[in-house]
Amino acid sequence: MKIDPKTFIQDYHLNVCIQCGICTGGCPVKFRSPLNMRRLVRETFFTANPSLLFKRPELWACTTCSTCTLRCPAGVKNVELIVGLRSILTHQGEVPSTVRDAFENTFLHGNPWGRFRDRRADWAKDLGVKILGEETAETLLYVGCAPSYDPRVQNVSKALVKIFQKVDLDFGILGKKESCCGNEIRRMGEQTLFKKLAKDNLALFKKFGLKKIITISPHCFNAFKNEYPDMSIPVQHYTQVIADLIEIGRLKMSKGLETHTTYQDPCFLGKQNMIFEEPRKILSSIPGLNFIEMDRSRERSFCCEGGGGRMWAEGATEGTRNGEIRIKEAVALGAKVIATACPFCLLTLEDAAKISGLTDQIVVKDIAELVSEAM
Amino acid sequence: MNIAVCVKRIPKTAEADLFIEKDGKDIKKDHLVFHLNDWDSYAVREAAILKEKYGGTVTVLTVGPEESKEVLTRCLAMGADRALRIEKPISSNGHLMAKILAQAIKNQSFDLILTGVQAEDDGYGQVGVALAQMLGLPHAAIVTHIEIDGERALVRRELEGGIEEVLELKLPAVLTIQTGINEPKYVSLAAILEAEEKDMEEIHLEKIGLTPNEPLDAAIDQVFFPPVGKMAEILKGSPEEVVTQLTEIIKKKKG
Amino acid sequence: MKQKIGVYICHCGTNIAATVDCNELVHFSSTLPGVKVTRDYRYLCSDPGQDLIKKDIRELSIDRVVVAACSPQMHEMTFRNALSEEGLNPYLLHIANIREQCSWVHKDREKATEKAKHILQAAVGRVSHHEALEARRVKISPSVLIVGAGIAGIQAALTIVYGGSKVFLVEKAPYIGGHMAQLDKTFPTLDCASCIFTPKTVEVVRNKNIQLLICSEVVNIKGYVGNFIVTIKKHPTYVDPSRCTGCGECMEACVLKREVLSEFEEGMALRRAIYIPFPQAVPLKAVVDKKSCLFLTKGKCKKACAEACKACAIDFDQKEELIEKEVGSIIIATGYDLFDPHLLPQYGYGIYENVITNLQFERLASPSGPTEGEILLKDGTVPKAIAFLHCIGSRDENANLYCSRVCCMASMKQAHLAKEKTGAEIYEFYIDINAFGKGYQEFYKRVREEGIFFIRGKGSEIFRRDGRLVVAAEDTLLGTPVEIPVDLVVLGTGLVSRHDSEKVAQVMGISLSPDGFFMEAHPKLRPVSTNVDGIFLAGCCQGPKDIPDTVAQASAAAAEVMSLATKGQIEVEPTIAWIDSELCAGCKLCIEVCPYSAIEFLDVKGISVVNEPLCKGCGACTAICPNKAARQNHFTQGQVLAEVEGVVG
Repeated sequence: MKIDPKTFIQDYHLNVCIQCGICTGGCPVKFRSPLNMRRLVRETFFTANPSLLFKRPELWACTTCSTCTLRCPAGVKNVELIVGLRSILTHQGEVPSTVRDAFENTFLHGNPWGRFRDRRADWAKDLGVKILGEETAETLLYVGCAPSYDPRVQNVSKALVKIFQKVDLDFGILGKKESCCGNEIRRMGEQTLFKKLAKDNLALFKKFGLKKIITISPHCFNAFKNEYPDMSIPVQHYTQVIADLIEIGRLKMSKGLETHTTYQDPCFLGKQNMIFEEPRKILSSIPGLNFIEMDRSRERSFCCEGGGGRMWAEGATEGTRNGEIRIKEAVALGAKVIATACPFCLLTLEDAAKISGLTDQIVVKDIAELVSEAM
Repeated sequence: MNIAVCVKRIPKTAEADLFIEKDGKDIKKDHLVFHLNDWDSYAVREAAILKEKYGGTVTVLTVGPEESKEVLTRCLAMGADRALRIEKPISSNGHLMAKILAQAIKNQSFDLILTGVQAEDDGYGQVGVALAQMLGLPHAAIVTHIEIDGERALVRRELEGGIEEVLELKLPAVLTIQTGINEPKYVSLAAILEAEEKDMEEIHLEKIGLTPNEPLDAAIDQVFFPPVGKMAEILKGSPEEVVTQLTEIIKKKKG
Repeated sequence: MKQKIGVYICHCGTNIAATVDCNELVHFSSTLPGVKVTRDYRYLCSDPGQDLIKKDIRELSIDRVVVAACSPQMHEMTFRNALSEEGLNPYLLHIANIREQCSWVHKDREKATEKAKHILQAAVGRVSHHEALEARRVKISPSVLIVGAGIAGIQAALTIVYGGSKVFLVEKAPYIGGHMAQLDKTFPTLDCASCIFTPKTVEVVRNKNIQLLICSEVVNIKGYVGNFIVTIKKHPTYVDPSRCTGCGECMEACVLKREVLSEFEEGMALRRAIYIPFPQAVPLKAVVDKKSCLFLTKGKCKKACAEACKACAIDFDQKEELIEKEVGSIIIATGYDLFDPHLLPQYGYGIYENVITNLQFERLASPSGPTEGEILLKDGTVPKAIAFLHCIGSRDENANLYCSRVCCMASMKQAHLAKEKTGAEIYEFYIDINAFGKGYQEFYKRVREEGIFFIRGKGSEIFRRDGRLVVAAEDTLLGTPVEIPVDLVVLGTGLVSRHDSEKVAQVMGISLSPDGFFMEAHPKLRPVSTNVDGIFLAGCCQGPKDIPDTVAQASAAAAEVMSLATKGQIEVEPTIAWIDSELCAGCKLCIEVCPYSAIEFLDVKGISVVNEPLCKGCGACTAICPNKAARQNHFTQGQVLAEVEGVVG
């Protein structure tokens, strides 16, 4: 699949840009890296030789949080421009070595971490979870790569299984057959690999006659809902499912969690897919939980720097990470727990808490973990 | 400069579930993920870099079944110009591999022949060196740096403790390539799909004067799992719990 | 008698001639039945062009004319006049559109010429069936209805009454002056808004030829230009204005504990259920808000207001009134609403109490406002830094595409006032500076000289840090991102069409432009007229504009109205429907489909009859009548079929 820099202006509507700067102004890495979205748009528009733009390490700093695209008053497709530039670099093989490894691992093993496919469902071994293909179910819990392999995030997967089993929600997982959703792969620029992943996944979903898919990660949710072609199976993020279950009274939480808790809106759940209320509904339904809203919440949520390939590349960023700033904000608010609903937010915020030396003042928990504790 | 690179398609085994074949002479490989041997990948990249610097062509050869074509495709996507697949004999070892490759190479004129230091699966480290002997060519093994000066190659070899040996060889020569000699570029899936359209040559063993049933001077007797030790105790639980258990055990056993 | 059709083919410079072979058309035309003479000319609409036609009418007794040229929208009137001047009935003309419908939309010369021939053939066939028609004359009633008593409505009203006509001025709010009454000082002169327009508002109330109806709305209009019948709903204020002295005792006495946000103060202050909108309100009369009044909503109140009123003006028995008026023309001057910044959550409006709109800032700056003209934060302290964000809700794909025109100047004026009053650090976050009017660029320069910081970068978001509000943006001229801490943020909120404009448009029968404001008849040449004869627009209801342009437009609308009133009558097209009483079976299908309610059923005779002044000649009745009793002048069966035959033949 060829991406041609000559069509960038047309593909990404670069000529309507009035250089207002709302993109750079709202960019979460604006102080952390030389990336200047507004300037990049203008330079791309005017350059006779696009390849001069390519060799910039800061192209990998973008988290694809999409704040720029969402706020742009002229309709420029900023994030897609970054993806387009990255696609050219990918095609030329000019990607950071860590990104290269992520691509190659995904191709060989179905996940960017390079962990073996055989081990993908080990976390669920003794939980009595249905494996599609061996048993049938109409609902798929699409686990995702980090929730399958990362020990910290595996707790989230386990918590969710516990919740679903408690409410008798019938579901299955793909087990070893599950491959990466491709969301980050696409945003890092490997369009061909993304297409292959989408094609193979869709075939798999069809094969098992699925009626519904629930995802753990908002990234997977985003890929299935917005970026997979011909995706006809309804997809939900697990917070939507749990909020529903609470609403209809099927999920009861009796144990109080007496703690001041705040919430980090993940970019891929919140600002990109407008799911703000469901996580809050869940948190305020937990008995005893004292919910405090962060100042920068909802559409203004401060990106944790986990998306857009940032789990594998730094993109010439320097200085204090956003995660650290966020943890400090939460602590200053008086929160003892910072809840989130995304594996990348979970990992980056927890790392940040450790680096900031604040692990004795605040813990990072996924909403699934909190609900599981409160059941 | 015409360069030949000998490559091997091998399975990745690190975390995989492994099973022994019925005849006990090999592991079951059907379910494993295969890829281009890591050392060979560096060799192919190095050949592409040398081609960029000095011009010429890069030819990749592999001895293997139909499935091996996928690593040849990757090599073509990495910058190789020609790809040859030589039919795999029924059983083989490092020595036979070198023999087959020597037969295939000897009538073609190459200025430089590269192989990886060893293969990830069996780790013999023999093929490159044996190949040099069979072709009557000078060789250097565990090469970390190559410079070409007309008819000579100036190479560095990796020794222990960070020491390097600098060697001068007369071309043509055989070099076995160590990992880290260069920074491998990413090979995009798009580039691989494009390379799939290119032609490859296939060579039957008869054509190079050999048979599929060549005798082996050394063959695998048995492959088995290491016996489960009686003294091993598996600690289960979260990292915190395991550390607690471990500290208890160490304290009990007095350091 | 044999017809003598004259065919005139226009080249229109190269507009037609470049694509259509006019010579070939001339030859073709002479072969058509009834054609006596065919001529072609470069610009038929010019004097010499028209003279060609007139000469043939005089000398060759041409009795029907076909002009093959541009759209009839352009010059049908021109050529009809030419015919009239030679004593030929103007309806014996037909325009064959070979420009907009042919030469301008095709590239292939051969095919375009072929199509032009068909168009011409159709026109010639049609015109041979034309009949002479006489234009109708309609009397114009001299009274005028003006909807909306903001500066536009007031200006129009005063101009019209000075011209001698009567005006009914209807206003929804309990006071006149609209948004201008809320403003402090106006740009670029820094005139105090109230000071400059109070003479006008006072005159409106004083002038006997203006009947002012406040707390009123137009709910229905019937009729046509010169003869509109409008129904006005007068909401009860529960206060008798003839007795009320505007003393304000009732307000003090009102028992409503949970006060209501004052609309006039843009929610920056509270009012009671009975209130006078502001101390300088015209008319200065109390009104009761029936939505918050305890007595009217719950029936339980001791009516302390009535007790306190020494003039005994409070009357809870007041009822809604429906008033009918007959007017000759209508001016719509309903003004604008402000864009709701809740729709752009990144600015924290509604979350941070010190993020306000530009109108809210006006109320702060105004000496009669909630802070008596001091620029203060919600906690009563003086801000040390203030940010003005431009283009909030304007020039934005996520809000409105258009530019709201006034906010750049308003922002800079407010920056000037803020600087003067507080000495704070002032930042203007802008994309472009729209200083287009007289004295505007000079004012911009002055504001710069006063030391206000202009940062070229649209505000991206507002958040809180260390107890202050922070504006995140990029200084695009330096190319560096900035986060500027301030105490007060004033959003340059744009102007939007009033929330009820769809309803108003429906009542009036006018259209809305894509931007939501009322649509003018032609954006350049007819900016105050609408698609309905006799209904005009003035002020921001037609599109965002500043006070000078509003006043100019209001005067323009008044001029249009006055020219109708002076003439006393107008000519209306005779191309209307009529019903053959012999053929009508009284099925009433035509009445059902008529969009102008222009057909009446005569019970006595059992037939339907067209009410001529109301009929707009749309043809719906003609199409639906099963007996072919309903017909339309200038669109008879014979004429239309002849045209169709010409096209397909």
